[in-house]
Amino acid sequence: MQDNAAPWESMWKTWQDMQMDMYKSWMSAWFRAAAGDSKVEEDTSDKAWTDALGFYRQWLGYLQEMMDRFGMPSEGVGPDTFMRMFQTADVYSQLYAMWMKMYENYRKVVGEGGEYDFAAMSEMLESWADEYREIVDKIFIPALPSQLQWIAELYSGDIPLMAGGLLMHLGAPWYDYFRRMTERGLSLERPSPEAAVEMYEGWRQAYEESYGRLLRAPVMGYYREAAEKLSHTMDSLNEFNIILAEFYASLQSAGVKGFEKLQERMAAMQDEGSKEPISFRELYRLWWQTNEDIYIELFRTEEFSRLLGQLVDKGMQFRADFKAYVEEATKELPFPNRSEMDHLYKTVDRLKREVRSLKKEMGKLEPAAGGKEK
Amino acid sequence: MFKEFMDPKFFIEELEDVNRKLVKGAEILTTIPDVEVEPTPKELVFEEDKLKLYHYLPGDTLSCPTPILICYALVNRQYMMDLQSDRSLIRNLLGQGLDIYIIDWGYPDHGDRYVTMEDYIDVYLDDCVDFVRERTGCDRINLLGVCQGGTFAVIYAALHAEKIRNLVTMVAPVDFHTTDGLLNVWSQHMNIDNMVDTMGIIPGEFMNVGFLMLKPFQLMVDKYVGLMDNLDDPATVANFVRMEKWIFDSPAQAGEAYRQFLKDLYQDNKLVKNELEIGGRRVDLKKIDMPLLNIYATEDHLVPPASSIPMNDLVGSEDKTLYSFPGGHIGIYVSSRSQKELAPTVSKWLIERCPVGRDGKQVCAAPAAGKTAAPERKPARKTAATKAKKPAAPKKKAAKKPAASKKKTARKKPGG
Repeated sequence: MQDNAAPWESMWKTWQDMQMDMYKSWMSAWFRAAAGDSKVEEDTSDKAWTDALGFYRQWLGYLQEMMDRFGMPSEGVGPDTFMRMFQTADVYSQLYAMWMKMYENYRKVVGEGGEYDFAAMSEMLESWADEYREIVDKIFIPALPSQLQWIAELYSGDIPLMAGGLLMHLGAPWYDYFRRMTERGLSLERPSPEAAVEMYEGWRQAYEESYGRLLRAPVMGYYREAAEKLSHTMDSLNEFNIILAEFYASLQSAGVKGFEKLQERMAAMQDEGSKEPISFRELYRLWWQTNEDIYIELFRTEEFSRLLGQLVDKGMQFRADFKAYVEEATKELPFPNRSEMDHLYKTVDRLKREVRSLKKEMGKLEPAAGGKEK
Repeated sequence: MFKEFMDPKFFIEELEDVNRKLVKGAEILTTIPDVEVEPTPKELVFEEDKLKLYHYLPGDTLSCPTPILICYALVNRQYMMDLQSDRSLIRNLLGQGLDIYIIDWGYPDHGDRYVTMEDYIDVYLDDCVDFVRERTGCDRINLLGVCQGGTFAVIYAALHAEKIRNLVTMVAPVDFHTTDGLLNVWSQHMNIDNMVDTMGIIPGEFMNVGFLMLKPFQLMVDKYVGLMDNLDDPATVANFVRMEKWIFDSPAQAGEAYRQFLKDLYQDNKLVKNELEIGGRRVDLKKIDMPLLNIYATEDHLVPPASSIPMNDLVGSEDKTLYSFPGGHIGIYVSSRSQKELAPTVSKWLIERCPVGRDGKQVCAAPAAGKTAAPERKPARKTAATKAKKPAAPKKKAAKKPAASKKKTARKKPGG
């Protein structure tokens, strides 16, 4: 009779050891994670994510070791199978680590000088791309059938570097903009109209240097014309918004000035020794009349007049561009657009003038003709 | 210190008063019928495109058979002259025995974007003048231009002086290069071509934003706070709503006419430079040789006095009167002072210049030397001259011919 109990006793013993080791590892990992003492990613300073990642990878390693202890006799489901499983899981962790490292470096490069350092960023990007290529070479390519390995090689060349560079160029102006706005916001003692103008101007600059470039890139294909007109519309909307911000800023300045003037007037009333208290109604009257004076003083200035002219002009430009876009986008629809109607109106106008002129001529001819008959 | 804090009784009384007005006001606003304007009876006598010419049904007696044609502005509606029965310049003028026609320009739409100033002045206005002349049998009629319509009337009178007996302008801008008015200042920096090319017609709402900005707090805040004070008075609320209707009942402006008005007049001030051209003809203000009554409002924020007053020095008329009305651009029509003063002043001025025939009767045209007077027109009702009793009509002197002895400018002082 064959003794079948031996393997099972061995497995049981292994299971018990595993449980104990797992408990020890679990506790050890938790303590280290809690103490921020992970050795997994020594180069990083971001404990929050490296500790979590270290913990995960350590736990993954432990599981693999544990499963290796099982001496399953059956072909295909023994340690080799488990090894592949855990390697696959590790791919994700390595990818995760790579991206997080890139993010961390990105933050460092930007944050150190307070400026967006393109040189440092490019250097970092190249280093990241090397790492990316290494991962692809080591992990993805061997995992693919030989016939398909060329696909992965595509993505281990310059493509990631180029794509990453493009994304950084798109993101950099916005990062810079938000950093400046944050600093500005913290340093302001009180909101000012100039800050609003600066904020919008910064926004526009960031847009111009990032997505504006994308929108202005030559468009091809069926929607080329519409896309180009949309791009013009976006540009003119931006131009309009800048002037609008300036316009509101000038109104806001007058508002602040009006409030100060009101305070001065009230102080003057007190200095005059007026014992008589004023009512809310009197205060209101003083308020609106003071403000009216200040605003009209502003409206009379050459500067405001010029600004108003620019505001209307930019608004008209946006309206014209938007109309052009709408007409382009709806040209296939079964109704006439504004330009077509204008053409028709022009024709009707010309015809009306002709009719009027002919009637006038006839009016002159009628008496003459009547005279002859008589 | 605020009175409300110092005197609780005063505060509570104020609070109670406000609440009472609010409740009563809510009741009035929810039950007020649709406001009616233009109460004075009139008939439609002529139409052309969107233009309508109305004839107000005259009173029993006409002080002067020469009719008066009122040319209102393209901006806003002509019923400001006849807003309500107790605030109506039209009704008051009718009461003085005048025969009145008025132009309603209508509401231009996109189909009117190519209508020019030449169309308005040399076609529409001219057609109305001809229609009234033909209908009344008067070779020359009186023309009264209001605001922008006043500018049109001045231009028309310069181009067709032979058709106009007397010219009356009310708050009409002529010299646009004054810095007294914000519209004059702002217009200098407007890209009018871009505006007209883009919008085609200039929406009334767009214009209104500019008008409200002229007195932002008064027109957008205090006016409504003021209403609160009278919210419990149905008549005041109705008047307020009626005026509100007029203010925001704003026709669009035909693009090409707007372009020329803004560029040639507001920006280049061509009228006073004698450089303005309408239909290829230069507008020479010296060709205005008929009597002129130029009325301006001392507190006008839309057409500042500095824009109207110079007219008297620019025209060729020898008989010209400058009349100063103490009030604003709107008050000149609706204020209680206006109801008492303006219509009598205008009608007296016109009647004094009403031609009288050889038989002493008032006629349409002054008799030329060696000729009999033009045939007496046949009004719907009898003229003062044909009635036995003439209660309203002042006694006529000989036909007023612009005489050298006539005072060149009789300026009426505010309050005078």
